[in-house]
Amino acid sequence: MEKSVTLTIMGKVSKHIPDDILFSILSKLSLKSLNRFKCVSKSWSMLFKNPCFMRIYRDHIIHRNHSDHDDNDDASLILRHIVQAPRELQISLYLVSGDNFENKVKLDTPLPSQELGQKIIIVGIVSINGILCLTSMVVADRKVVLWNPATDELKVIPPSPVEYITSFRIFFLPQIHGFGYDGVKDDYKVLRYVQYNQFGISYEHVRWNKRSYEPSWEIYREVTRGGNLILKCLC
Amino acid sequence: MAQEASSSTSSKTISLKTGDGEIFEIEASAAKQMKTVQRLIDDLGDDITIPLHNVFSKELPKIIEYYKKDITGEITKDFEAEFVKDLNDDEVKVLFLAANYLDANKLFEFLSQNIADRLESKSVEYVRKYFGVENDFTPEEESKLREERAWSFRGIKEDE
Repeated sequence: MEKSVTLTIMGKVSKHIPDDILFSILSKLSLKSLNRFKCVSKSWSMLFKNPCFMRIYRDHIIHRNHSDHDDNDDASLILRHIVQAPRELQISLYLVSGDNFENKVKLDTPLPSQELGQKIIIVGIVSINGILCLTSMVVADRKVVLWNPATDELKVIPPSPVEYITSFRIFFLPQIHGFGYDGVKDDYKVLRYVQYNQFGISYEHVRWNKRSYEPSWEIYREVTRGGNLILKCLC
Repeated sequence: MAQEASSSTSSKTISLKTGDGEIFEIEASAAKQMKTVQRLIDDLGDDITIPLHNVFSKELPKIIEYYKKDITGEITKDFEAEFVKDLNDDEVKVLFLAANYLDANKLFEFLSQNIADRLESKSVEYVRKYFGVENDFTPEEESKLREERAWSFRGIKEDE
């Protein structure tokens, strides 16, 4: 009975919606629905691995967040819920949004502990367009990554060239100041500083170009005892 | 001669003929918003009745209504809500496909968002039927997937 109602136009039954226009609809769904609809069929379960779909999905999120919203919608807060069970810590991640943080969506994908170990810090406790910036509490690692829990994509940010320049470098936990999205340059920014001698602090700007995945560095400002120097270095 | 054409386009109407043989009038400026129609006008001229084989008399008036509002700049959220209020999910889908065929971008984007909104509360079975997708999972595979993402099923009414 349903079949005769669905799309019978002048006797022609056409049920098939081509992929590209299907993606226009799916890209506007919430993460919750997208995850649920992975159960629709095998090809739907591979949606997040489909570069064509991901392109449309990302574009939609970015445009939605930067269009007519007064409030800062592009960042969602992360809630890390830690339960001390006997013998282990249970950690669940939630994306929260809404005026009173009433919308809580649990992130299924576990944190990438193979890359970063167990002691993971979420920079800024924030998710920008669904992407998290993570680093490890373990100094020896000094790794910073950008991670997308929806697709489990991980990009390691390479160490800054500044770290290799001077012999006065102090071995230091990477101090990540912030993680955000630059709407002007259409790129993500990770801000961190590296102390490389007793008197100087430099602020570094990492641009992670989400399209080419080639991180480039820009030294934002260098302050030395003698005065201010502005250094720009793009690699 | 060029000047003559430009002064008359503002009030010029184009005739559109649906796949089931009915004819509707639309203003030239509204026709511009439907790239498929505009392309046909460019090829065939604007004096001829433009044939639209894949759009039918049930949908076209609704589409024309939308673009009539659009050229006066009056499309508001309220208008859009009213526009789809009495349409069921299948009717919206047909309209959506027609907007795609006509390459009417604004309507297409609006309807795709409306369909997405309608699907937020729907079950997996409903979506399969809606898009005519075959379930190619084994029962074991499917129940494993559902278990893994149980959180995404919370609050969703299952069909049947």
